[in-house]
Amino acid sequence: MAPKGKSPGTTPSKNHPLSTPSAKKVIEDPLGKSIPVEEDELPNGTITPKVLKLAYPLPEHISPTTINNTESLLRFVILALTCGAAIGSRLFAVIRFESVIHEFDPWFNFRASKVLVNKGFYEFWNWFDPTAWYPLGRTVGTTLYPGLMVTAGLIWHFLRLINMPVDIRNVCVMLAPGFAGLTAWTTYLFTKEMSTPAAGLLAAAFIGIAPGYISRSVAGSYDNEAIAIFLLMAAFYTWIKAMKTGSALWGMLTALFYGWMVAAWGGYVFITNMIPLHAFVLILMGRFNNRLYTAYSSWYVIGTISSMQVPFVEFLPIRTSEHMAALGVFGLLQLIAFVEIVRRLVPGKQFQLLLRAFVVLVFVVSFAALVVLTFSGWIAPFAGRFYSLWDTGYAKVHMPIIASVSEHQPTAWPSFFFDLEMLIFFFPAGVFWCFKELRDEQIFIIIYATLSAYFAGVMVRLMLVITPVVCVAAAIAFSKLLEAYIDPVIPESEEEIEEATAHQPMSKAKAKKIAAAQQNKGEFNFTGILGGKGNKGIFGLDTRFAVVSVLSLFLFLFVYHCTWVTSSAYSSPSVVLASRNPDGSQNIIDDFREAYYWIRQNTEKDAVIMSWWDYGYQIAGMADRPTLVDNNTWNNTHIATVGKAMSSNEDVAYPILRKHDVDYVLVIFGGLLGYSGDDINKFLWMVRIAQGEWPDEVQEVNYFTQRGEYAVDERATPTMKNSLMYKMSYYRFHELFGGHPAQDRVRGQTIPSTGIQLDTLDEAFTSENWIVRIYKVKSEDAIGRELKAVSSFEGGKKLKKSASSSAAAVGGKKSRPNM
Amino acid sequence: MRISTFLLPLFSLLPIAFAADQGHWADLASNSKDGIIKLDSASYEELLASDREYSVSVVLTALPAQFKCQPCHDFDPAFHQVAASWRRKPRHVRDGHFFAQLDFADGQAVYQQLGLSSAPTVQFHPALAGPNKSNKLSVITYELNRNGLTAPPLHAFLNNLTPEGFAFYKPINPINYIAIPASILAIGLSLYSMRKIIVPLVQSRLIWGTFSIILILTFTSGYMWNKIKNAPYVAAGPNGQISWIAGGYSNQLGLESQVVGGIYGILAFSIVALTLLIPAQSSPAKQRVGVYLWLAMLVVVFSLLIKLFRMKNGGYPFALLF
Repeated sequence: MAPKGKSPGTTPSKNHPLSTPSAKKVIEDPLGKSIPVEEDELPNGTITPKVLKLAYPLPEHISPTTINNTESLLRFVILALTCGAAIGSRLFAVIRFESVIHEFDPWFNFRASKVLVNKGFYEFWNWFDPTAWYPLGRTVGTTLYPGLMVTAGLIWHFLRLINMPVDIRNVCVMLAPGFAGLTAWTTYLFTKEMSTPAAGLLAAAFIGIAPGYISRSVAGSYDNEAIAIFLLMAAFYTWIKAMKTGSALWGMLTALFYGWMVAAWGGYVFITNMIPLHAFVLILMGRFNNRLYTAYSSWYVIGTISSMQVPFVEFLPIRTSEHMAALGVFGLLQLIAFVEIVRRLVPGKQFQLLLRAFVVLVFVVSFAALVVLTFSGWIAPFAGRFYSLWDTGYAKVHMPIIASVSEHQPTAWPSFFFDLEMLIFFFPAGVFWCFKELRDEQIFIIIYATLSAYFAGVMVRLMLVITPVVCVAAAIAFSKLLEAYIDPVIPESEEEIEEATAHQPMSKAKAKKIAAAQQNKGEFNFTGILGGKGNKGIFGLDTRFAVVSVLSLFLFLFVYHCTWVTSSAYSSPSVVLASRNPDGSQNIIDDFREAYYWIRQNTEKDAVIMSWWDYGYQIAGMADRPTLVDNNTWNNTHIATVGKAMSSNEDVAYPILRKHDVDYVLVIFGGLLGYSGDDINKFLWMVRIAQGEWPDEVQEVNYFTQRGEYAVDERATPTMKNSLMYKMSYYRFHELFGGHPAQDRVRGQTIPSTGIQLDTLDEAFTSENWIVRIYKVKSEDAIGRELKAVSSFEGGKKLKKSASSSAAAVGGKKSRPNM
Repeated sequence: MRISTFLLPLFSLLPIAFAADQGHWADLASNSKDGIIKLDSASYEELLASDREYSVSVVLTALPAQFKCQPCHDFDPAFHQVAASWRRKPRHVRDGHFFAQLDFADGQAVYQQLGLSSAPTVQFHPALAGPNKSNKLSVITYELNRNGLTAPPLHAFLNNLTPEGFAFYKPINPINYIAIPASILAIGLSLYSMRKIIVPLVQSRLIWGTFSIILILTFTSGYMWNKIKNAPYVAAGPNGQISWIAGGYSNQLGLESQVVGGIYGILAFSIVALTLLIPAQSSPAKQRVGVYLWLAMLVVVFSLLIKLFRMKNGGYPFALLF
């Protein structure tokens, strides 16, 4: 970097005890700061410039314009490289596997994007999907955040416009890395407003490769969060700009980014509450001014109207509690602005008192009105998802579906370290600097930091929200530290000062003082900040070198850490798995796509597939078949129905399957390969969710052994062994082992080798590594027998109506799903 | 059965002839606190006779101090509250359902018979005869683990099962209605009178700064995880030694997260010290010592942190000093 002549103050000689008059000349430095140069008048009358002592030589005779240009060129190059690194570090999955959409939700987003580009915007807007949530269907247009698909669609159209016909899939795959580059850029701008451009560059580099953000934005992770963090930072940057300049234009830009964010991600509520909170704290601190008023009003009005254009949001901004803070602060600002104007025009102490009382009264009355409206039901209370952030036990009791998602678990400390490494302890230091300076915009960082630290602690998923502020604050602390030790100016040491003073003719008072100081020399004296002698600067070259090299080491370690985390933890598409052979070569496990393409090729176009909701989007996206439930978990009862079918015995499950026209049932089984994210491990959540709807028929305790263990081996309870899920997972499993004990490699238990009999289902397909197993639902027997009887008849057994089967049949009839 | 009945205390001796009689249990219930019948092994069998025309909610608990059953004590008031709510029903309705309590001290035989190894357990026994006979005749166990030890979920559970629904009754505590506004007023007044001291405190940058940074350190070191998952403070290892580090990447102990919070605090302070305190030092020698001390602190503690992380996450390939 070009050395910046950044001295601790422009006029250091002010607190200099030199009593001789010394001429000062200040050379203007390109940054607007100045290198102080002192000129001592020598006895012979000539003037020789005495430059402040420097720790290392600086290049001389370079014109300010050159320095200026070099700096901005360097900044540009560094930013461009940072964006490149941000994009590059997200490409592991594309290079290792191929350009493929990841995980679950992205498959739906991808499918919606295809509808958007193939059928046009209006078709997409009014899209009704009859194949999802069979037989209910889903009105997609009004139940999704369209921002992501529209963004991808616009990019696709733009690329076609400049004659670059790119497949929409590639646009979708590369969208997240591309926007990560933009995020680095906005973070630079945001941090520049908070601190210096140098800190901004560091922040951009940090956010570019921080695993906390990469986790949701690798190539192929085509999800709302991919563009949301860019929009978050852009909205915050424009807000800070608006607040600092008081420009309605910046306020409007904030509103536009906010509107885009609302269209893209449900997490927009964070912005909806951050900006009012910032404004409110500023008011409380007595920092209200017209700039704040203009910025906030223009943001709130335009932003709210633009957010109401999204069909999924519509009138929520005026009808739900999450949005009331923004409305309240808007009202408060109007009130205060009105009072300010009146106060300026009408002097008089009594009148002011009256006005103040008026403000308080209006505030109290409107707050009471808000409470009344909330209790009367006109304003909806906090939605469960948001409420569970405060009352952390709420979701577990009332919303098992939300609690069942692993992303919604609280965060243990290793996750923080894993995602942020050294930034996590530079972060509090950065917050300290914000407190030290406490400018209006730095208050924003403080609020953001504290709130997001709480949110990230409550939910792993919200690590995403804390990552930007951690990067910004850590960059501020880091660049302050670097600045202090790179700065070449050496301060005057105490001895030198004393020496210099001794040679000067001095007044009586001064001489006394020094004499007193010398008398005290025997005693202990503080020399640092405690002694009250702030003489800012570093003396030794070795100490500078030590600190700077340790910091560089930290930075290198950080880069290695981020690369390792990204490569090992966050770059798996989870649609395609990889394992290592003993010889180190890579083995690709492609069971999911194998199975989905089997469905696509071998089943009727309208065959209904039942699976647990996790796989709904993938089946719809890759196999193109109707599903009962999918990852858009809007209908709890429907999900519970599937859960009940999976967790009940065949006699209960079969009528449910037939009633929902299910042709195939798909289960994920990892026991052979040791794939731990399989359905048996998720099974308890199916049971719990089913129990939420049918507490009499499905009970969680029945799936645990007497000793409270979750067992699949000999000890498994009869309910467990008879459940459809257990049977489908382990059907013919023991045959693979040819007489040896059948070992489940996920649970580490031995599966009993007594054969499992399936009466109502036929095994249709099992993938190479047994991860996906598909069963065809038998149709009713042609001559009206029970299917159980049919299979025992075909097995050559004596036909007898057993007591258990008739009892179970009664149970089955009773347990009709409430359709 | 009969013989053991004779050994019972006097109160159950008298109405022997009416042992399975509803009236007898109704009398017992109305005479006991909150309408909860105290049982032992013998009367448990009698109350749950197979020709009962009433339903029963039994809590199997272990209240005496020697069993050290904290959940039992936590749950006891909730059960009493629900029983008291049911008791507010008119007598002819109320006698269709009884609340009963069997302590482990009095009914070890029942515990063995049911194969119970944990307390408290709540069971609902439906009526097996008479007009209230329900469709479902098996015993329903209330899931305490799922619903927690508070009264409202228990009430919601029983409300569906009792012969008639009943409202959850919470005794009104008149003191609250007077004491809370009065104390709010008192606190407000005292705050106002002490405003000379309090206003500078509220406006103090130091206090807010310290408070925010402590909050941030607490949250980023996994405090909320401890709170939500009820993590123990320390754990006993296999040989009885105390360990403060939980195995596994997504697991932690109370002390562990406090140590990590402390480490973050030390590191952040070293950074601030290096940036702010050291350059203010006007003696070159002292400054040099200071720089190396704080730098050593930074590097050593960071290395320790990485080491700690490596203990949690076995595959972590990086290390600094250790």
